[in-house]
Amino acid sequence: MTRKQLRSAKLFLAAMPLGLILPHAAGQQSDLTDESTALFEVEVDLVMLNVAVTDRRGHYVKDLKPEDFRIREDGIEQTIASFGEGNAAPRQISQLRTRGRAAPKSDVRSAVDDAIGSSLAGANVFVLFDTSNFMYRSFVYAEDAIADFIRGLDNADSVAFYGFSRNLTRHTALTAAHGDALRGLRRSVAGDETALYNSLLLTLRDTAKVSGRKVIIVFSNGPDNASTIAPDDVGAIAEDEGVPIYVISTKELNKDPISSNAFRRITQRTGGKAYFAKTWQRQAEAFVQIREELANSYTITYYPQANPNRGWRSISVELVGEEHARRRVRTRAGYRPKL
Amino acid sequence: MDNGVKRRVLAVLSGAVLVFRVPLAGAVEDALRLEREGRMLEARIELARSVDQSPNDARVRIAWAEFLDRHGGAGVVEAYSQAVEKLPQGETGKRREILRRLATAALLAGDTDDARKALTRLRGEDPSIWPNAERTRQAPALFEGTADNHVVVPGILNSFLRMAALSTDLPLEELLPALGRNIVTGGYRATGGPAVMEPTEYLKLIMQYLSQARELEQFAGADNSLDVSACESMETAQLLKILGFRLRGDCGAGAVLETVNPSRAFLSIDSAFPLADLEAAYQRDDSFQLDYRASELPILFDRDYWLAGAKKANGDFLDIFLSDPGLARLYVAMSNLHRPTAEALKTAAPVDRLKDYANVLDFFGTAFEVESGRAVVPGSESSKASWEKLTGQSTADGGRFFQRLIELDDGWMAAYYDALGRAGGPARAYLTEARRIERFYAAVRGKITSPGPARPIFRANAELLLLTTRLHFDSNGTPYIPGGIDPWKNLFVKHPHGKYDGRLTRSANTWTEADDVIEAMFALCRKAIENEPLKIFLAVSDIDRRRSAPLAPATVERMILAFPVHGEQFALYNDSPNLSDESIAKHLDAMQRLDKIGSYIRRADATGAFQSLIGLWQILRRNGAIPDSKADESLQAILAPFEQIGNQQAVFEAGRNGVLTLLSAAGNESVEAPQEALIELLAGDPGPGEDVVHQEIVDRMSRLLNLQRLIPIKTLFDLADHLERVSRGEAFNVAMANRLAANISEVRLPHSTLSSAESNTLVQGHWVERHIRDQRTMNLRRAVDRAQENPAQLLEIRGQLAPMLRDSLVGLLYVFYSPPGAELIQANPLFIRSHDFLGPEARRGWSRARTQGFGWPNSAGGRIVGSLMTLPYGLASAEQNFMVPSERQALIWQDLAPQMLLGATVPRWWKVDPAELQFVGLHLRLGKLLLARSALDPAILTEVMRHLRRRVEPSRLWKVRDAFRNGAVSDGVSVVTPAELLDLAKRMRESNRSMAADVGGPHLEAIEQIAARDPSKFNYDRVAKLFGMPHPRLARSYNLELLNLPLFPTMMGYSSRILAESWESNNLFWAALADELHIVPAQLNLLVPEWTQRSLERIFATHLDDWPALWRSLRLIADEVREQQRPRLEREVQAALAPN
Repeated sequence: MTRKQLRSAKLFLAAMPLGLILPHAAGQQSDLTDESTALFEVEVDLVMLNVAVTDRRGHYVKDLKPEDFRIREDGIEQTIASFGEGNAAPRQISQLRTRGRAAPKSDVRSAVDDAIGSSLAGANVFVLFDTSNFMYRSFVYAEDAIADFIRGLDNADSVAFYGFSRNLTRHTALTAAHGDALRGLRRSVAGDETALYNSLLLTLRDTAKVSGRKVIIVFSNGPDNASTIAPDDVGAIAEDEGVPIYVISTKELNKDPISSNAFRRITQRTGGKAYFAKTWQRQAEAFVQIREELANSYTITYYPQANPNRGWRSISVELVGEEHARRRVRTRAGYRPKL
Repeated sequence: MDNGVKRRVLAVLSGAVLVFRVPLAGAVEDALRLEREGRMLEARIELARSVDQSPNDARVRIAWAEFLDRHGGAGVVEAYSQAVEKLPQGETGKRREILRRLATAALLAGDTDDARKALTRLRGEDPSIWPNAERTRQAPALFEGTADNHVVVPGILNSFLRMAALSTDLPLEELLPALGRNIVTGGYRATGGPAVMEPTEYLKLIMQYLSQARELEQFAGADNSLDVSACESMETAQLLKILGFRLRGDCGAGAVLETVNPSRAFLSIDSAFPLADLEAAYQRDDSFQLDYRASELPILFDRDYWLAGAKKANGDFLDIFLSDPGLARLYVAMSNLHRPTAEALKTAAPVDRLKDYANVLDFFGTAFEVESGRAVVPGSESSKASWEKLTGQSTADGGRFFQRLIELDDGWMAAYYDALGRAGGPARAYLTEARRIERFYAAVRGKITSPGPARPIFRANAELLLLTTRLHFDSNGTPYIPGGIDPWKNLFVKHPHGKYDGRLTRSANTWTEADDVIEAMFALCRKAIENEPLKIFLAVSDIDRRRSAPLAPATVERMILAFPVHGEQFALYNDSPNLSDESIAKHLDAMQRLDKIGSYIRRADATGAFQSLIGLWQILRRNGAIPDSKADESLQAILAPFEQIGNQQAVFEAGRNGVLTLLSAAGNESVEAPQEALIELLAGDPGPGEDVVHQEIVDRMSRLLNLQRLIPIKTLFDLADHLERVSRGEAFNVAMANRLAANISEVRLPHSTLSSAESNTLVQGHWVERHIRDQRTMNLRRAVDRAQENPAQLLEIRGQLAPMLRDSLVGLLYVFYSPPGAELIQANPLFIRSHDFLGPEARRGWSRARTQGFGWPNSAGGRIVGSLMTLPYGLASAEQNFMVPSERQALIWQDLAPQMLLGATVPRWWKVDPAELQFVGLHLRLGKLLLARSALDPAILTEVMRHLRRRVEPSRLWKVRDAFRNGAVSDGVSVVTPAELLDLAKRMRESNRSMAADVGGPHLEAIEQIAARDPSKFNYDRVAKLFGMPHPRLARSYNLELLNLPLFPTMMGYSSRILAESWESNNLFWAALADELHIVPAQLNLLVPEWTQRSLERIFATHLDDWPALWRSLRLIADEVREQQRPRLEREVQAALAPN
């Protein structure tokens, strides 16, 4: 194969709102360089959704099937590519959509899909702990609650533990060894000012480097006095990246309406949820609920149908059938494809 | 140096150093030729091949070892060891020379075993060599505590360091001074005037931690071990009670630690007690054991000395130290002194008396030096008499002299002494002339000495230091007064804004000579505010010293008047020092006219467009895209339209004219793609083979601009042209207008999604919000309809494009100066549009750029307010918030990090010869060799110290010598910064050539060969231009320079900014690293910003003057880079050697 051919034989991964499969797919490049490989170009713009479905009482609805869901993007109906429930690895539903001069070889296609599947087993949980002086009084109890949460995570989940005050500190990088995360937690240091949204942005940048299902859980008391990024800008990036944000605020909802509103906005638009829990008991409850949601939500992917809109695209997920009429579906509201 | 002299020098070198060199095999000679040509990798491969083919050839082995030595590569010690073994018997001279190099290399590498072996062998052959070698043959002595020379820190030392916010990188003897510094700066706060000091939370927590640690010590018992034999035991209950936890669940897998006493639990967590391990032991139902041995920290002098000055003398020394900030400060001061000086002061005065002046000693004592009992004072013998007269104390008794010096006049004398001590070259000679010492001191001191310069928590004598170190002199040693004396006289006598200083105004009429002006400047140094004339003087002096033709007096007068408002813009004249007086005057005129624009919106747009164009011009001048010959012409062409800004249309036209002028001056007439052409020019002019890196830079800038949804300049120009044609009757192109509208509609105001409470609290800046809103609501089609085919009105519509053109131009500067990451540009789509050219009072357009808008909801995200002239620092300052310290939180150095970042983003390295990197690397390595060899050889030590003392204060020189005395050679060398190493090597090369050749023959020879290759390229001016640093505060310039000043301390009003600017070492260090790893120079454009950011994230500093932490961090990153790059290098060599 000539140098020119080598350059052309690329697996072109573009416009990935999820930032996923890159490490796996890149690893496949060497398989494409033998003489017999046909030249092709594949555009993969997989969109991943974390979908929580609850009944009237707020209980999670389990055992739904792909055909129970209808997904629209800018009103255009989409075909589900893969589907998974809880921490189970998603299974492929439809074939990889291709674009280019030739269809990809089947081994490449399955390699990409395998990469998607394997990367999705379990969730990558990023815990972001506010250690600023605002949290001084509740620091130790908060650690207990976080420790319980980490201990209770599914074995398939990986966890990263970060702390922040004026700057972010990566106490434990993403790891499947939950004990390491506990060690990181016990190493956190009380700090000074609060730059929650700056730190959230940096955490999002880290989530973009890993494949698979990702969530961020923020534990904070609310006020931010040091960020130079506004919450809605961070929310927009999380939305684009498909990373749901959960916030446990140690302040009651009505005590700090400005922070509470910001929390609600960024969690809603990313498909996460905000919990307002002043006491450590309620904080522990909130963690239990998040864990439950991780275990009971659905992971659905699709390859967007042709859509000329290069700006913000709305996503709607509905349940099909009368029996689901009063059920509530929660996922991110949309995303902006990468330019 | 003429060529004849150079040839002689080379001849001498060849003879002196390479006495054993005989013509080498062809391959080796080829390799050396390749190296001289800057083809380092090829040279390495050739030499490696020679070694492979002739492993027993001593000359080949020597050539290989010398190559590694010249490039600072790994394996130098091993290579010299192998070379010496291959030398045939009888070649005694050669063997000794190689052994000397081997010993020096091993000492520098901290390889004590190899160093000892080589030294033993050398001394065995020649006992007279290196009288100081004996001590370096011994391992450095470890600290041993005795009854009165240490303080006991209970528990795990790292836990204490964590609680006390001390870096774990500090050596043991520096921990107590560092703790003292933290006590002084953050341990107490005045609650009822300075006399009533309350401990801060920081100090309370340390004290509580010590109490808990002592309880744990008791629990640990005599064997100093925290032992818990089983989960279900009394020990568990006792231990957990001390730690503030309890066990939830039964012993075994379900056992979990849970907080029961939050105060104690907080201390356990904050001090990093291994709770997770303890919990894991309980879960395994296993035993837990932790070594809980106390640590001993050395005390300066002895414990009794300090207790004699303590407020209370009973109890634990550490507790006494923590509770007595005065004592802690004296401890810091004495620890930082030149040790013999500290000893002399200790003898001269009792500790409680010194304690009263601890603040003065702390700030200014590092300049004090006592040698053989006598005070060493700045200046000549005749200066000594003046110092003695001023202090009333003979210098013969150094201790008493300095005691008197600190006790005088609230510290002014000490501050003055410190400032004169730092002055070098002609400034030192001028300022220390006997009559001037007294005259200028009288000016500094004034009649009322309070408040003194040592009263605040940071030094308050910044201006004094700046004046003495930044004065400029003519060839006769006379200080240069820009424009002559009259403009400065007028500044005081006829200043339109009132008098600066009544006494100076009166005396100004009698000024006749330079000394009169300088005296006035000294008098202003004591003022923390109202010292504007001094600032003007320093600024204008900086401009004038760079110029080939001095500024005309009339220009100086104008600059003096313009400084209060437009002073920050003077960097333009520094960066382009040959601008004509006419251009300067026109620039000043234009700025004044802009200030007179009544409409705030138009003024902001015009100022933004003006500053962007000037900023772009400045970059293109700096990178050589606009040649000297076109500097004045192009600048004046840009300025001309800004003289008449009557409406928005004129703003747009001025912007467009500026863009076209810039392109034309840079030789690029690309009207088709002006934005792309400008980006290409900003990225710089790559040489052959540098296109890939260049394209990466271009792509990055383009991507960042896209993220901000800025309207491409070409689109705006096309629309404007179209509107002009419409005014002449052409039909309006709706599609074109719609495209623009679609672009703009993606720009969202933050208010749209907010609650009313958030909207009400949000402070985005009135004019900024209006600027963005006006763009969003712009409707070209409606405007055209309304104009009803009136040509004049149709033309005016073009004015609506002015705000967009302003943003697109501002954007170019933002993306050029954005540090790695560029998080604000990437995350906040309004960041560039939000640049505020007016500020809250509509008067901040020319002031220093600052980030505003911290915290939600008091901002819609941060934005920068102020002048684009200072954007590089402002942007770096805003971006530093996104660095992630690898050590404990909040360690980013707020005023140092931005300067380091801009030092990496301003330079561009195109068409740099690899030999230019080698030229720097060779100097740095020669400097290190000289230092290491000075540890062994007293004659070299004398010369090395003589050169170093020009810019290294006595206290630090003592540290170097002390480390050498203790056999810790590499530690001593690490006290000297890369910029100082370069300076040392340069001075030794210039004035101690034979000594330098004896120590670093291969290095000096290579330096001379490179310099001889092209003297116009390989010289120190070029080194400074390539690898120096911008000095926006010290020299008001973004040009790269090496000012070669002593390291400045943290100062009141400047924090660590001028410390950072005087550091100057980063790029030199990276250049040497690139040479070592044979990295292509163009790659530095990408790597240096990344390495710099990584090193900033790795800084583990204890306080604001802790620059050694920065130096450690650079070395750490260099080690990481080596670890990453050396395998690549090895692979490339192996691949080349592998048989086909």
